[in-house]
Amino acid sequence: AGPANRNLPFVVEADNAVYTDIEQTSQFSGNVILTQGTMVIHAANVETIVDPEGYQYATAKGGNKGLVHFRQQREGTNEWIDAYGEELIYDGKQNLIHLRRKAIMRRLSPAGKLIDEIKGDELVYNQLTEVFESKAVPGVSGRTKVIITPNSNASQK
Amino acid sequence: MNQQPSKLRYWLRFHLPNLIYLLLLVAVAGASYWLVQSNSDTATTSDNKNSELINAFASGLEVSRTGKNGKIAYLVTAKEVLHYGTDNATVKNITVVATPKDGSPVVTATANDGVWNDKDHIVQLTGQVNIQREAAADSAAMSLVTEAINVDLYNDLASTDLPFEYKNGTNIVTGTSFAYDYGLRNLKMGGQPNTRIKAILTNEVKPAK
Repeated sequence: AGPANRNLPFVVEADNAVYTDIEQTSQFSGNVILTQGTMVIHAANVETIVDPEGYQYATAKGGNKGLVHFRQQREGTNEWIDAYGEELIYDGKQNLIHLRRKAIMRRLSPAGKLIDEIKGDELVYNQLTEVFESKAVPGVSGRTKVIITPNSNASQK
Repeated sequence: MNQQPSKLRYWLRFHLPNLIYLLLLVAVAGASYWLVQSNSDTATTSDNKNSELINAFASGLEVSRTGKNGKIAYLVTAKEVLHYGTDNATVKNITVVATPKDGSPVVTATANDGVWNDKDHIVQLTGQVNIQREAAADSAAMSLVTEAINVDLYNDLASTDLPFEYKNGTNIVTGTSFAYDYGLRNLKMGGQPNTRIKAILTNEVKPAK
């Protein structure tokens, strides 16, 4: 979540939940929807944990067609980041979103038109700088594929 | 040539006494069987009349169990006893305090009404049920509010199928149905058809030391 969203609470809806007091973890399952400001994550299972400093972390797995779906509005614009992957890790302290395995991240115009797209084995999106990068995963012979649409005036409207 | 009448006279003289004697025997046997039967019925009804029944009325109640470690595992108190029966007590203004294991935080449940079941040590709490787990070194204080729960004191388990609200520090969870194992300190929520769990988890970042 961008600077404005960062301190907003997580709102999680699910069919079931198990809270383990000692480890301070919550496991949500069954059509899980996690929102924080404009960030929305859809998954089959989400586990959240709080670190001693109070930062939230979340690990999401599975979902529609086995993929976690992440969506967030870019700060100060009407553009959207739309991403998928088999696993998503949200790091509340560093404001990073890690997407792993079959990871795709797209930047969409307000009208939903594709502007940029990146595919890879592991993608990392920095919510503060709003930069997403592809990481090589040791031992995995994957490739990164990037589609960048020239920044024409039309795309500004 | 009167053959026929002598046969009858012979039967009357020799067989009739035996027949009469046999009938007498059957009558005596039947009467004694009936007598024995009716005596045993009256015997069992008198046993039932004397079975042990307890009916007591008291102003307050306190029940506690001390565990093998010599410490009180749970303490049930009630301000008013409506009725104390053979193996249960109906009470008002009830408090259940449980300390499942050494070092684990104390859990207290209060409610308007309660039914204490002596056989399996289950307490049914109804009416503004409030479960409080005191703060622990690793966790803020926690509360669960609902309308009715069962507390299984032998298995450290409080459960309901009703709507609830759960608070842990600044986090709030609402939903329907929970099973709180206060011994293992884990809380299972949801699972009822067509119901959803909603959690609001606050990002409460503590300033760096």
